[in-house]
Amino acid sequence: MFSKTALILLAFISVAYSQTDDEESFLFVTKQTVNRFIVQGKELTIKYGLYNSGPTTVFNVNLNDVHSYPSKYYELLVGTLNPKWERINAGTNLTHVVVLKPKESGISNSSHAIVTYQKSEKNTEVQRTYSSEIGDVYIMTGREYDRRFSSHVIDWILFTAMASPCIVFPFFLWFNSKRKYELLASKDKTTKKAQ
Amino acid sequence: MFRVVLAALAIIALVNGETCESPEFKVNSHSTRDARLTAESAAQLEITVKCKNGKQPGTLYADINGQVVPCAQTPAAPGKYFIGVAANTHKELASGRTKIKLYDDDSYSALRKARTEDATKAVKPFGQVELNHPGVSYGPWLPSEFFAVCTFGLVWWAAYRERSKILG
Repeated sequence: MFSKTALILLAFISVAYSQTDDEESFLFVTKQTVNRFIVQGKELTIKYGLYNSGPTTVFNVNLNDVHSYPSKYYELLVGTLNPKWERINAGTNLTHVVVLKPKESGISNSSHAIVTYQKSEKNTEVQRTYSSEIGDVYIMTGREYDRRFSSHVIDWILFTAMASPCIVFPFFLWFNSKRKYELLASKDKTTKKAQ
Repeated sequence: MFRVVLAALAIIALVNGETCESPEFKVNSHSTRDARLTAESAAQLEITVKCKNGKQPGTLYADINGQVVPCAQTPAAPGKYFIGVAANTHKELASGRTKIKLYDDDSYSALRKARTEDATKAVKPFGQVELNHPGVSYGPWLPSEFFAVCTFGLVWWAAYRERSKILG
Protein backbone atom coordinates (compact mmCIF):
# COMPACT_ATOMS: atom_id res chain seq x y z
CA MET A 1 0.00 0.00 0.00
CA PHE A 2 2.75 2.36 1.02
CA SER A 3 4.90 1.47 -1.96
CA LYS A 4 1.96 2.16 -4.31
CA THR A 5 1.51 5.71 -3.01
CA ALA A 6 5.25 6.18 -3.12
CA LEU A 7 5.28 5.05 -6.76
CA ILE A 8 2.39 7.37 -7.65
CA LEU A 9 4.13 10.23 -5.88
CA LEU A 10 7.33 9.47 -7.75
CA ALA A 11 5.41 9.42 -11.03
CA PHE A 12 3.87 12.82 -10.27
CA ILE A 13 7.22 14.33 -9.35
CA SER A 14 8.90 13.08 -12.50
CA VAL A 15 6.08 14.39 -14.70
CA ALA A 16 6.23 17.77 -12.98
CA TYR A 17 9.98 18.03 -13.55
CA SER A 18 9.72 17.04 -17.18
CA GLN A 19 7.03 19.64 -17.71
CA THR A 20 9.22 22.41 -16.39
CA ASP A 21 11.92 21.24 -18.78
CA ASP A 22 9.56 21.76 -21.74
CA GLU A 23 8.48 25.21 -20.70
CA GLU A 24 11.89 26.76 -20.60
CA SER A 25 12.65 30.18 -21.91
CA PHE A 26 15.03 30.74 -24.73
CA LEU A 27 16.70 33.99 -25.60
CA PHE A 28 16.84 34.84 -29.29
CA VAL A 29 19.46 37.38 -30.24
CA THR A 30 19.63 39.06 -33.60
CA LYS A 31 22.41 41.29 -34.79
CA GLN A 32 21.80 43.64 -37.69
CA THR A 33 23.12 46.82 -39.10
CA VAL A 34 20.82 49.68 -40.04
CA ASN A 35 23.34 51.07 -42.52
CA ARG A 36 22.73 50.96 -46.23
CA PHE A 37 26.43 51.47 -46.84
CA ILE A 38 29.34 50.98 -44.54
CA VAL A 39 31.81 53.77 -45.09
CA GLN A 40 35.24 54.28 -43.63
CA GLY A 41 35.18 57.20 -41.23
CA LYS A 42 31.38 57.36 -41.06
CA GLU A 43 29.10 55.92 -38.41
CA LEU A 44 28.19 52.26 -38.45
CA THR A 45 25.12 51.51 -36.33
CA ILE A 46 24.60 47.97 -35.12
CA LYS A 47 21.35 46.88 -33.56
CA TYR A 48 21.13 43.87 -31.25
CA GLY A 49 17.61 42.58 -30.66
CA LEU A 50 17.00 40.28 -27.72
CA TYR A 51 13.73 38.42 -27.41
CA ASN A 52 12.77 36.24 -24.51
CA SER A 53 10.45 33.60 -25.86
CA GLY A 54 8.92 31.35 -23.32
CA PRO A 55 7.13 31.86 -20.06
CA THR A 56 9.90 32.49 -17.56
CA THR A 57 12.37 35.22 -16.80
CA VAL A 58 16.02 34.81 -17.70
CA PHE A 59 18.68 36.18 -15.44
CA ASN A 60 22.16 37.58 -15.65
CA VAL A 61 22.22 38.11 -19.40
CA ASN A 62 25.60 39.02 -20.77
CA LEU A 63 26.27 39.92 -24.40
CA ASN A 64 29.83 39.94 -25.57
CA ASP A 65 30.74 41.19 -29.03
CA VAL A 66 34.12 42.70 -28.35
CA HIS A 67 35.85 40.15 -30.56
CA SER A 68 33.89 41.21 -33.66
CA TYR A 69 35.04 44.80 -33.54
CA PRO A 70 38.60 45.12 -32.32
CA SER A 71 39.52 48.62 -31.34
CA LYS A 72 42.35 48.58 -33.86
CA TYR A 73 39.87 48.63 -36.73
CA TYR A 74 36.77 50.18 -35.16
CA GLU A 75 36.27 53.13 -32.90
CA LEU A 76 33.42 52.85 -30.41
CA LEU A 77 31.33 56.01 -30.39
CA VAL A 78 28.11 55.21 -28.55
CA GLY A 79 27.01 52.24 -26.47
CA THR A 80 28.97 49.29 -25.26
CA LEU A 81 29.97 46.01 -26.88
CA ASN A 82 29.58 44.17 -23.58
CA PRO A 83 26.17 44.99 -22.10
CA LYS A 84 24.54 43.04 -19.34
CA TRP A 85 21.02 42.86 -18.06
CA GLU A 86 20.15 41.45 -14.67
CA ARG A 87 16.82 40.09 -15.74
CA ILE A 88 14.75 39.97 -18.89
CA ASN A 89 11.10 39.12 -18.36
CA ALA A 90 9.12 36.74 -20.51
CA GLY A 91 8.00 38.12 -23.84
CA THR A 92 10.23 41.18 -23.67
CA ASN A 93 11.71 42.51 -26.86
CA LEU A 94 14.86 44.51 -26.15
CA THR A 95 17.11 46.53 -28.40
CA HIS A 96 20.69 47.50 -27.81
CA VAL A 97 22.35 49.92 -30.18
CA VAL A 98 26.06 50.34 -30.73
CA VAL A 99 27.61 52.97 -32.99
CA LEU A 100 31.07 52.32 -34.36
CA LYS A 101 33.32 54.06 -36.83
CA PRO A 102 35.42 51.87 -39.13
CA LYS A 103 38.97 53.03 -39.39
CA GLU A 104 39.96 51.04 -42.45
CA SER A 105 38.30 50.14 -45.71
CA GLY A 106 38.04 46.80 -47.42
CA ILE A 107 36.19 43.59 -46.73
CA SER A 108 35.51 42.86 -43.10
CA ASN A 109 33.80 39.98 -41.39
CA SER A 110 31.85 40.44 -38.21
CA SER A 111 30.93 37.22 -36.50
CA HIS A 112 28.31 36.23 -33.96
CA ALA A 113 27.95 37.85 -30.61
CA ILE A 114 28.15 35.47 -27.67
CA VAL A 115 25.30 35.71 -25.20
CA THR A 116 25.27 33.90 -21.87
CA TYR A 117 22.38 33.79 -19.45
CA GLN A 118 20.94 31.81 -16.58
CA LYS A 119 17.54 30.24 -16.66
CA SER A 120 16.87 30.82 -12.99
CA GLU A 121 18.28 32.93 -10.24
CA LYS A 122 19.40 30.04 -8.12
CA ASN A 123 20.60 27.70 -10.82
CA THR A 124 23.96 29.10 -11.82
CA GLU A 125 24.20 26.89 -14.87
CA VAL A 126 25.03 29.25 -17.68
CA GLN A 127 23.35 28.89 -21.05
CA ARG A 128 25.23 30.06 -24.06
CA THR A 129 23.68 31.22 -27.29
CA TYR A 130 24.92 33.01 -30.35
CA SER A 131 23.41 35.93 -32.17
CA SER A 132 22.85 36.04 -35.89
CA GLU A 133 25.75 37.45 -37.82
CA ILE A 134 26.10 40.14 -40.43
CA GLY A 135 28.80 38.25 -42.29
CA ASP A 136 31.16 39.75 -44.82
CA VAL A 137 30.68 43.42 -45.46
CA TYR A 138 32.46 45.80 -47.76
CA ILE A 139 33.61 48.99 -46.11
CA MET A 140 33.92 51.59 -48.84
CA THR A 141 36.36 54.43 -48.61
CA GLY A 142 35.19 57.93 -47.83
CA ARG A 143 36.00 59.00 -51.39
CA GLU A 144 33.69 56.43 -52.94
CA TYR A 145 30.82 57.52 -50.74
CA ASP A 146 31.47 61.21 -51.38
CA ARG A 147 31.54 60.68 -55.09
CA ARG A 148 27.94 59.53 -54.90
CA PHE A 149 26.48 61.47 -52.04
CA SER A 150 28.39 64.56 -51.04
CA SER A 151 27.14 67.96 -52.12
CA HIS A 152 29.95 68.57 -54.65
CA VAL A 153 29.98 72.32 -53.98
CA ILE A 154 33.75 72.51 -53.94
CA ASP A 155 33.90 70.54 -57.17
CA TRP A 156 31.62 73.03 -58.87
CA ILE A 157 33.55 76.02 -57.57
CA LEU A 158 36.75 74.53 -58.95
CA PHE A 159 35.05 73.85 -62.26
CA THR A 160 33.82 77.44 -62.45
CA ALA A 161 37.31 78.71 -61.70
CA MET A 162 38.76 76.57 -64.47
CA ALA A 163 36.04 77.41 -66.99
CA SER A 164 36.02 81.13 -66.34
CA PRO A 165 39.16 82.02 -68.41
CA CYS A 166 37.42 80.53 -71.48
CA ILE A 167 34.42 82.75 -70.89
CA VAL A 168 35.88 85.87 -69.31
CA PHE A 169 38.72 86.40 -71.78
CA PRO A 170 36.61 86.59 -74.99
CA PHE A 171 34.01 88.63 -73.07
CA PHE A 172 36.69 91.08 -72.09
CA LEU A 173 37.88 91.42 -75.68
CA TRP A 174 34.35 91.99 -76.94
CA PHE A 175 33.58 94.45 -74.19
CA ASN A 176 36.70 96.48 -74.90
CA SER A 177 36.02 96.67 -78.60
CA LYS A 178 32.37 97.49 -77.99
CA ARG A 179 33.31 100.35 -75.71
CA LYS A 180 35.87 101.65 -78.20
CA TYR A 181 33.37 101.60 -81.08
CA GLU A 182 30.63 103.16 -79.01
CA LEU A 183 32.98 105.95 -78.07
CA LEU A 184 33.90 106.40 -81.74
CA ALA A 185 30.24 106.32 -82.71
CA SER A 186 29.32 108.96 -80.14
CA LYS A 187 32.27 111.13 -81.25
CA ASP A 188 31.07 110.83 -84.87
CA LYS A 189 27.62 111.88 -83.79
CA THR A 190 28.82 114.92 -81.96
CA THR A 191 31.06 115.97 -84.86
CA LYS A 192 28.18 115.47 -87.30
CA LYS A 193 25.92 117.55 -85.08
CA ALA A 194 28.54 120.23 -84.88
CA GLN A 195 28.69 120.29 -88.67
CA MET B 1 13.34 49.16 25.09
CA PHE B 2 16.35 51.22 24.14
CA ARG B 3 17.67 48.30 22.11
CA VAL B 4 14.38 48.04 20.24
CA VAL B 5 14.50 51.73 19.40
CA LEU B 6 18.10 51.43 18.29
CA ALA B 7 17.26 48.44 16.14
CA ALA B 8 14.34 50.30 14.58
CA LEU B 9 16.54 53.31 13.85
CA ALA B 10 19.18 51.07 12.35
CA ILE B 11 16.61 49.42 10.13
CA ILE B 12 15.27 52.80 9.00
CA ALA B 13 18.77 54.01 8.27
CA LEU B 14 19.53 50.84 6.33
CA VAL B 15 16.38 51.11 4.26
CA ASN B 16 16.98 54.77 3.52
CA GLY B 17 20.57 54.12 2.67
CA GLU B 18 19.75 51.43 0.14
CA THR B 19 17.46 53.36 -2.13
CA CYS B 20 18.59 56.18 -4.30
CA GLU B 21 17.26 59.57 -3.34
CA SER B 22 16.67 62.56 -5.58
CA PRO B 23 18.56 61.23 -8.55
CA GLU B 24 20.20 63.46 -11.09
CA PHE B 25 20.44 62.21 -14.64
CA LYS B 26 23.06 63.06 -17.17
CA VAL B 27 21.94 61.89 -20.58
CA ASN B 28 24.00 61.39 -23.69
CA SER B 29 21.62 60.75 -26.53
CA HIS B 30 22.55 59.68 -30.01
CA SER B 31 20.41 58.85 -33.00
CA THR B 32 20.85 58.13 -36.69
CA ARG B 33 20.87 61.43 -38.60
CA ASP B 34 21.69 60.53 -42.18
CA ALA B 35 18.84 58.91 -44.08
CA ARG B 36 20.98 58.11 -47.10
CA LEU B 37 23.55 56.20 -45.08
CA THR B 38 21.04 54.27 -42.96
CA ALA B 39 17.90 52.41 -43.93
CA GLU B 40 16.29 52.37 -40.50
CA SER B 41 16.45 54.63 -37.51
CA ALA B 42 17.96 53.71 -34.20
CA ALA B 43 18.70 55.72 -31.10
CA GLN B 44 20.73 55.06 -27.99
CA LEU B 45 20.69 56.81 -24.64
CA GLU B 46 23.57 56.66 -22.18
CA ILE B 47 22.37 57.66 -18.76
CA THR B 48 24.60 58.37 -15.81
CA VAL B 49 22.72 58.49 -12.52
CA LYS B 50 23.95 60.43 -9.54
CA CYS B 51 22.21 59.94 -6.23
CA LYS B 52 22.42 62.23 -3.26
CA ASN B 53 23.44 59.50 -0.90
CA GLY B 54 25.99 58.06 -3.29
CA LYS B 55 24.13 54.79 -3.89
CA GLN B 56 23.45 53.38 -7.33
CA PRO B 57 19.89 52.38 -8.19
CA GLY B 58 20.69 48.81 -9.22
CA THR B 59 18.56 47.87 -12.19
CA LEU B 60 16.70 50.53 -14.08
CA TYR B 61 13.77 49.97 -16.38
CA ALA B 62 12.69 52.29 -19.15
CA ASP B 63 9.26 52.78 -20.64
CA ILE B 64 9.72 52.86 -24.39
CA ASN B 65 6.55 53.22 -26.48
CA GLY B 66 4.51 51.51 -23.79
CA GLN B 67 6.85 48.59 -23.23
CA VAL B 68 8.93 48.57 -20.07
CA VAL B 69 12.34 47.07 -20.71
CA PRO B 70 15.41 46.79 -18.52
CA CYS B 71 18.35 49.07 -19.16
CA ALA B 72 21.71 47.60 -20.04
CA GLN B 73 24.76 48.09 -17.91
CA THR B 74 28.33 47.24 -18.61
CA PRO B 75 31.01 45.89 -16.30
CA ALA B 76 33.49 48.36 -17.76
CA ALA B 77 31.52 51.43 -16.67
CA PRO B 78 29.37 50.90 -13.59
CA GLY B 79 26.83 53.63 -13.02
CA LYS B 80 26.06 53.99 -16.73
CA TYR B 81 22.78 52.71 -18.11
CA PHE B 82 22.05 52.18 -21.77
CA ILE B 83 18.69 52.27 -23.50
CA GLY B 84 18.30 51.38 -27.15
CA VAL B 85 15.35 52.35 -29.33
CA ALA B 86 14.91 50.96 -32.82
CA ALA B 87 12.39 51.88 -35.48
CA ASN B 88 11.69 50.12 -38.74
CA THR B 89 11.35 53.25 -40.78
CA HIS B 90 12.78 56.69 -40.35
CA LYS B 91 9.36 58.15 -39.70
CA GLU B 92 8.64 55.86 -36.75
CA LEU B 93 11.29 57.42 -34.56
CA ALA B 94 9.67 60.69 -33.57
CA SER B 95 11.87 63.71 -34.06
CA GLY B 96 12.22 66.21 -31.27
CA ARG B 97 12.23 65.40 -27.60
CA THR B 98 10.58 62.20 -26.41
CA LYS B 99 10.15 61.63 -22.70
CA ILE B 100 11.17 58.26 -21.37
CA LYS B 101 10.16 57.26 -17.88
CA LEU B 102 12.57 55.33 -15.76
CA TYR B 103 11.67 52.90 -13.01
CA ASP B 104 13.90 51.32 -10.43
CA ASP B 105 13.32 47.98 -8.73
CA ASP B 106 10.69 49.23 -6.28
CA SER B 107 8.66 51.27 -8.72
CA TYR B 108 8.93 48.51 -11.31
CA SER B 109 7.50 45.91 -8.99
CA ALA B 110 4.72 48.35 -8.10
CA LEU B 111 4.08 48.80 -11.81
CA ARG B 112 3.88 45.06 -12.35
CA LYS B 113 1.42 44.68 -9.49
CA ALA B 114 -0.87 47.38 -10.86
CA ARG B 115 -3.78 45.79 -12.63
CA THR B 116 -5.86 48.74 -13.83
CA GLU B 117 -4.80 51.61 -16.02
CA ASP B 118 -5.35 54.13 -13.26
CA ALA B 119 -3.15 52.18 -10.93
CA THR B 120 -0.48 51.96 -13.64
CA LYS B 121 -0.57 55.70 -14.12
CA ALA B 122 -0.45 56.26 -10.37
CA VAL B 123 2.92 54.56 -9.99
CA LYS B 124 5.51 57.21 -9.50
CA PRO B 125 8.48 56.70 -11.79
CA PHE B 126 12.03 56.87 -10.56
CA GLY B 127 12.81 59.62 -12.99
CA GLN B 128 12.37 60.84 -16.50
CA VAL B 129 14.85 61.43 -19.26
CA GLU B 130 14.51 62.88 -22.72
CA LEU B 131 15.56 61.42 -26.00
CA ASN B 132 16.49 64.22 -28.35
CA HIS B 133 16.24 63.19 -31.98
CA PRO B 134 16.98 66.08 -34.33
CA GLY B 135 15.49 64.19 -37.26
CA VAL B 136 17.04 62.61 -40.33
CA SER B 137 18.33 64.50 -43.32
CA TYR B 138 18.07 63.31 -46.87
CA GLY B 139 20.72 65.65 -48.15
CA PRO B 140 20.56 69.28 -49.26
CA TRP B 141 17.25 70.55 -50.60
CA LEU B 142 18.73 71.88 -53.82
CA PRO B 143 21.77 70.09 -55.15
CA SER B 144 24.77 72.13 -56.13
CA GLU B 145 24.28 71.07 -59.76
CA PHE B 146 21.12 73.18 -59.79
CA PHE B 147 23.04 76.31 -58.89
CA ALA B 148 25.75 75.51 -61.41
CA VAL B 149 23.18 75.11 -64.18
CA CYS B 150 21.47 78.36 -63.17
CA THR B 151 24.69 80.33 -63.14
CA PHE B 152 25.94 79.07 -66.49
CA GLY B 153 22.45 79.43 -67.92
CA LEU B 154 22.39 83.09 -66.95
CA VAL B 155 25.77 83.68 -68.52
CA TRP B 156 24.66 82.01 -71.74
CA TRP B 157 21.42 83.99 -71.82
CA ALA B 158 23.21 87.33 -71.38
CA ALA B 159 25.60 86.47 -74.19
CA TYR B 160 22.75 85.34 -76.44
CA ARG B 161 20.91 88.58 -75.83
CA GLU B 162 23.93 90.67 -76.80
CA ARG B 163 24.48 88.55 -79.88
CA SER B 164 20.89 89.01 -80.95
CA LYS B 165 21.25 92.76 -80.51
CA ILE B 166 24.36 92.80 -82.67
CA LEU B 167 22.90 90.60 -85.39
CA GLY B 168 19.41 92.01 -85.32
